[in-house]
Amino acid sequence: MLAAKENEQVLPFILNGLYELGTAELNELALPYLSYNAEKVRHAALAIIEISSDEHLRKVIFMMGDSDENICELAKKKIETAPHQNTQLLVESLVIPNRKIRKGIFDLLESLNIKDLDIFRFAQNQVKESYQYLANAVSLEAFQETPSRTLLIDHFNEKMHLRIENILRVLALQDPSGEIKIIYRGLLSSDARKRSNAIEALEDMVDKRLFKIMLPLVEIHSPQESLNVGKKNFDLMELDSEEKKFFSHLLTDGDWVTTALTLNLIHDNKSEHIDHDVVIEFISSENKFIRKMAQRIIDQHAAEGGQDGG
Amino acid sequence: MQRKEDRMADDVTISDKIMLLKGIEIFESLSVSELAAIASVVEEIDCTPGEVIIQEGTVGDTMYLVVKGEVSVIKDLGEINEIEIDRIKAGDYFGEMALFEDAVRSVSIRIEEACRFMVLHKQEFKELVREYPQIALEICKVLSGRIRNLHTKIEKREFCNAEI
Repeated sequence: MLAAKENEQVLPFILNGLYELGTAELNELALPYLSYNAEKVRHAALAIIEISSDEHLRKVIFMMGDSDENICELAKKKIETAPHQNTQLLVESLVIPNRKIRKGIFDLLESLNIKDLDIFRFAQNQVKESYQYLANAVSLEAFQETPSRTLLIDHFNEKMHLRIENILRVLALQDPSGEIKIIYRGLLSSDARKRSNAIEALEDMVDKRLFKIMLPLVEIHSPQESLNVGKKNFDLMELDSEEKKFFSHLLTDGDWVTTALTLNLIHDNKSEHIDHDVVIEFISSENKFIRKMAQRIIDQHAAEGGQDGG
Repeated sequence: MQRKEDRMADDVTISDKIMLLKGIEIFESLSVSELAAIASVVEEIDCTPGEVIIQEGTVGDTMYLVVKGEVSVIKDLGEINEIEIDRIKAGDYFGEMALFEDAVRSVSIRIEEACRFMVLHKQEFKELVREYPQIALEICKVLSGRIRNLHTKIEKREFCNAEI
């Protein structure tokens, strides 16, 4: 009924009707309509969605950036009154490059009474993630140079920088004086003096504990030197702890690019770094690149006389 | 014209695709995530020699990256004054301006050696840019560089003309 083309005009009524009838798994039916062309349909879909998980919350956060003001307001109201709340996710979403979404989040942060402590925890988590990405990149240096290894190292370094940028963006948005924004520009500058001035200014602006752990990531250090500081402050997963565990950790990163490239790297290194039960799980992945790469590893293993034929 | 054969190439991994995309000037400074996003929407097609995949004067909406093979770039294809102006080989690309504008193709492209392409369509590209606005910004940098180079060439030419 929802998919029938002739029903397009009455879709909002159908969605509403399904809600009134108490249809099971309504979220799954309504979610695809959040990106529908017609505003009335998007509005109707959003109205019947119940935010009961982080995934739903993420989708509704994006609706605060909708071109239609009524939809933005409805999204805000839905988040405010949702049975599932996650202030950390809201703070993290401040990094979404969309002015309308950020404005919506700030309104919500005010009404939800989010404290500086949440921002500090967010920053601390981002720093920890940065060090973990750095540890991943440094660990991968031990492998033979292949395109997948090079791309993975680049990917982790980019993710590390992105986390630091996230912190600075969020701090800048929280800073009415605008000084953090100037510091942020300085840190991204190719001029060494501007960078050094920005670091000095940053020390005066942010929490001392935060500055201390952030410094090795914003100053130009050797990766190993920075990582040593990270290891002192956080419990990080490294290659030398246990190889198979390290690869499992990369594969469960949650980012399909990391998973696909890691599988590629395992394949390039003749699949000796991972339990095949772990790889088999990826055979049924929704992502075609992950599926294909997992199958290749299984085939490679079988060709080498392993027991898992895939 | 020979029939185009659509099929998924089994031997091109995500790393290969990303590395190929990284070799394209307009994509070279993108992050691995952004390149992976593009790699996940490109289509792989195989073409046979003699096939004309771009016809001069038609509106194009695709960009081609040559994974293997060779094509010729022809002006006035089939006309008495037909002229081959270039050859494009593996690792190179063409048709990228079709992603940004609706202008007609200025040349024809004919397959000379059996080719495999990675094809990026305008619609997919537009959707990617919505999700990764940084892609548009990086491309602007490259296009702005091209304009600067053209200006330099024009200035040099004007200088030479003045000398004469």
